[in-house]
Amino acid sequence: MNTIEYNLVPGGQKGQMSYEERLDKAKEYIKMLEDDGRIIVSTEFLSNKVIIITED
Amino acid sequence: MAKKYSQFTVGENRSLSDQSGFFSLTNCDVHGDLGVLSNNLALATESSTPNEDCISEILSNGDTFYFSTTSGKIWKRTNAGVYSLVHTNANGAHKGCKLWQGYLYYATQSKLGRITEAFASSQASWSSQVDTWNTFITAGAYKPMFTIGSGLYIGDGKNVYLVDSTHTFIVDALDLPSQFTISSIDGVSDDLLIGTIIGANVPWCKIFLWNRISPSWTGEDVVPEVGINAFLKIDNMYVFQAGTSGQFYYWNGNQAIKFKKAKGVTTTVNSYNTTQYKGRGLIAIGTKIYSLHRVDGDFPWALVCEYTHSGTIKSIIASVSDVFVSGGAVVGHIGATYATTVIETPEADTSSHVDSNGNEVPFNYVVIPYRSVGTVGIEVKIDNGSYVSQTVVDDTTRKEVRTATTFGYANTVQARVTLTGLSTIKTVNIV
Repeated sequence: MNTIEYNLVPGGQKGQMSYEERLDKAKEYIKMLEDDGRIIVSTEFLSNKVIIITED
Repeated sequence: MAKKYSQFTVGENRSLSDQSGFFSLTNCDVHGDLGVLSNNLALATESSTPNEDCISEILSNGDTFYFSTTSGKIWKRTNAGVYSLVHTNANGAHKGCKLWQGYLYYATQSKLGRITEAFASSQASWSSQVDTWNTFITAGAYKPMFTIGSGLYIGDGKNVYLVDSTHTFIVDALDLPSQFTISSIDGVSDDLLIGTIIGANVPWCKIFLWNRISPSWTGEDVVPEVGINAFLKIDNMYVFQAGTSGQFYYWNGNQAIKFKKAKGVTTTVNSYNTTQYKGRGLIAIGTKIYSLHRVDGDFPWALVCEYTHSGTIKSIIASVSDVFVSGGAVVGHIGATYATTVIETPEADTSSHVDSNGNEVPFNYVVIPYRSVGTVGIEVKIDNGSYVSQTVVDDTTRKEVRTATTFGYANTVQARVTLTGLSTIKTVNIV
């Protein structure tokens, strides 16, 4: 098992990604992992992060 | 009227006419025995494999791993100096490597791989590695790595990734505005300093300070250079090299401040071109390895070219008693023979060309007192013309080498001294 966390906490008003952008990026990242052939055991969406458990 | 150049510990000066320090010091040891200058040992090729330019990381047991920056090949150098190819990473050229919490991590353009430290050393041909342990978002970006606090921090485009102490991979731990690409990272106390580049044609960039807890960075400063290339490893100073003209800066806690400049530089510097050897911060620029060092807190920081490699340097790494240099498709290290040392003085001029009696004062000789000497060559440049080789006399009674004929009347005189074989000189006098 391999734990990956995608940080959802947005930065301040400094040109950083918003919460919504981070959430979209997290979903894209999960898709990227699946496209890589990684088997995803679970994804847990929390307010501050997404916890992704992969089988490898 | 005589000019005496003996402040070797000042290192290289700022310009041809700057009388503090030397115009250039190449392959010199000025810190080993204060007050004199000696040849350093020359770099020699230790191995023709790796035959590709590499970045490297040293493990706890002294084994060093070389990761090709042009292919997926990974070589091991045992602490005893035996090289072998241990693995070929199918994900292509390497972009970063670092030891963290019992694992050797290595990055390619889109993948982070790892192997336990124990297996990395013990397996003659790796079988326990995971080349695709995790995935980066920004394929192709450089992957500078730095360990600080409880994490391995990795730059990937505008994003900072974290491998924490439990080896959880945390994506987008910090994101910067999208125009920035992270080019190098380092630490200040337990904060992270993040160097960036916008583009090779953009004459400014930024350095960011992040406390690693806040969702955003905690400080920033504009640096008027093309990019931040490499952080030096110097105790109690946060020095980095930036741009394409050899400029050094230091971080004063709030801002990047101009510090030193290596003259004659026209290129960028690789992020893995710094190390610390015997307490001296080393940085490789082109084929030269400079130290930025002072032996005593009362001394100024001195920039001195200590070693020269046969090819353009891709990375350097030090062990306790040696420096290993990857570049020109070989690995070099400190050899057993002395390098040819070259010393250039500033151009010497005089406040007046007439003495107190009204007589014209010529420049006569270059005189080099020594403790011991091999072969000394002296060239002289009159009025910033071209160097002309001089006939020299070795006066073994006075223990000095000097030029045999006078120069006559001139506005300025500059000397270039070449020491072949171990020599220890005390000063270069232009009289």
